[in-house]
Amino acid sequence: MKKIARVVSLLLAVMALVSVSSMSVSAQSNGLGISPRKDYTVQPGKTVKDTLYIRNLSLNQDLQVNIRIIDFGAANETGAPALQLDDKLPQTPWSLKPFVKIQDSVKIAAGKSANVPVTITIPEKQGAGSYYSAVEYTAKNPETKEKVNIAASTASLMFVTVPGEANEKLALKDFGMFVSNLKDESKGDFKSFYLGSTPKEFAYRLQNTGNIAEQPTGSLIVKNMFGATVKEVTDANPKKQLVLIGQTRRIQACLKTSVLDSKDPNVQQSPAQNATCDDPGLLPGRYTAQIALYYGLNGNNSQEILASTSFWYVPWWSIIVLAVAIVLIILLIWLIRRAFSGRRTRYRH
Amino acid sequence: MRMAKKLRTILKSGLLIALSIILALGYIVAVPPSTVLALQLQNRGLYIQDSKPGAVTRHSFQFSYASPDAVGSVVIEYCTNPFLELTCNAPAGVDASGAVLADQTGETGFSILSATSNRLVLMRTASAPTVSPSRYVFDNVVNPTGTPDTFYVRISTYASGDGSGSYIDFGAVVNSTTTAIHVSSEVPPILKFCVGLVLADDCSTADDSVIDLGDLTTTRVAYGSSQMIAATNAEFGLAISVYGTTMTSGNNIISPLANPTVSAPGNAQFGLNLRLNSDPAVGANPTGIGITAPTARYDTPNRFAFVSGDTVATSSAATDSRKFTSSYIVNISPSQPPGVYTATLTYVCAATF
Repeated sequence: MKKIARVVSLLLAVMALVSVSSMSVSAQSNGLGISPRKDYTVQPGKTVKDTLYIRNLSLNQDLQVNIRIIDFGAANETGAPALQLDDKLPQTPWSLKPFVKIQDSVKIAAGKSANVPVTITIPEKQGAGSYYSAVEYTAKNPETKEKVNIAASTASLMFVTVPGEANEKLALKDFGMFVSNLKDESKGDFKSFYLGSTPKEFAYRLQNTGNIAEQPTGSLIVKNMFGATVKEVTDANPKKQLVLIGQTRRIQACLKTSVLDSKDPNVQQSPAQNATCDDPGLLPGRYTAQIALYYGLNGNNSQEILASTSFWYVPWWSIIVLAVAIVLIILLIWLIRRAFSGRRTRYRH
Repeated sequence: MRMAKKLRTILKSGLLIALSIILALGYIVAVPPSTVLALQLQNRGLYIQDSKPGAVTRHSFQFSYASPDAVGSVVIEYCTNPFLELTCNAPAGVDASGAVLADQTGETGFSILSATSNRLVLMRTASAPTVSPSRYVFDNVVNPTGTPDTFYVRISTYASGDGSGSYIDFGAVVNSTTTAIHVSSEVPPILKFCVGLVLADDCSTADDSVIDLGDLTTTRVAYGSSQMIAATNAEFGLAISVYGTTMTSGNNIISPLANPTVSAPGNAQFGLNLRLNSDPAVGANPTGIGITAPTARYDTPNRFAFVSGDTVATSSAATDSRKFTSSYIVNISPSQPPGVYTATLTYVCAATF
């Protein structure tokens, strides 16, 4: 009645008012811990059985979880997945949905965990390639009217490689020294002249036109202008990042990395380590970076990508030092010339 | 005065000359960047029969000789990097010292001259390669041990019979050890995520999923907030996305803000951000020692947006806990149809890849 009365008053007053009543709602846990990613290699005609770990982080509320398989692709050039939550969207060509069996819900008591069985069966005649989807776990909350309802959902990314003769094709689009945008991880700029700032990071962009989600590996060396190797980066893809089917992916790595151990008491397993790019200690000058990237399934040809790029490093102190040296030389020459012209004048007199 | 002016001119000239000299030196002295290596073994591949770490198994190498020069030996070397000019460090645990040449096709006539833990030398009477591709199968090779990882094998051909001297052709192949299935219990890596109105730092209290925005009027903004915490020790990091609908009542909606926009009562707006705001006074900046950060669209105080499917925060590496406060605003226009408006937002936290 209150609502209807308000509607009537709205019509009379010609003003829009939305009524919201403050009802109390019973609470459910909205905290989950899961295995973030699973990788499998499954031969055609074979089945893999595994379990997926889910933990209820709440200590005082049970967790009712809905489970389903959803497809995903690449959101952009980073590794953020674009999850397809809408069931009406067409299945992706690399979807795992036809091959995966998993229960559709589980209830976990407060503070407890569960291992949910999952089965992946690859048909006998399935072609070689990468197949991937995500297992979505959604905390089930009762929806209320007249409010903003929020829910927590997590997703485990599941990658299956079916070995065999596959179409593997990565193309290098860019390679060079890189400066990340600290405000937006998805952005940054390739740079070849460092005036004042220090080159710390390199990047390369790879476009995947094959049917395998590739994880390129490789190394990088940096040579100075005299041809001597001054820096070696053994692993050019230290985070084992993937280039999904159809994606152009930017992968970055540091010339020199330092790792900070976790100080977070809430991280219960092995400590999270935050790697940061350190000053590589280069001297001023021109440098050449050479990269060798490799990819290829076991048994397929190893594909190789070679590239090189050059960059300048000119810190301010080097310019100042050289400038001071030049000024001193010029002053010396000037003084010498002045002294000689003074003597000639005295001799004439 | 004249002296000071002269000195200033000399200083400026000196700086310009210094910069020019540095640039010129670089171009004069610099070694030109190397182009793609010319003598590359083609169609290279390595097949490992059993790729488990530490397995004693068969390694099959395939490649095509590129140069027509007579080949007397082939060196196969297991390393942690592919560059021939760098020191070859053996992958931990690899052992080819007991390798047996079980089969060879293509260019044949080879036998094992020497075999160490990471280096095999094949020899034959030198002759020019005429058949391709070639395949060399070794049994009894021990895979690298430890955590499954990638390794490289450098392959080079020589005119000499013992792998000495300058190489004729070179190429590297890559492969990795893997595990067939993952252990199914509480093992790392783990991704943790919770949402609620007010959260404990360890997500132990993660309930209350409803935000009451109060009455909506055209003269003042309605606002509210919720919190979420994310952490993972997976090296590839995580991404938090928001999915859902704007405030909806039947067929009527309150327009969501596609781009970061200030709150403007009297205009239809629904949006959120992950920062401390002063207009309205709602929200908080991210806290915690983790490195997850809001994405650009949701990272400006007093600017709100909502696009379903947007990534609102990401971390490209393992991250400790980071708590975010989502601030929501709702404004309505005078023409907003009356009704009961509801929004349902799902925050999805997934690993990145």
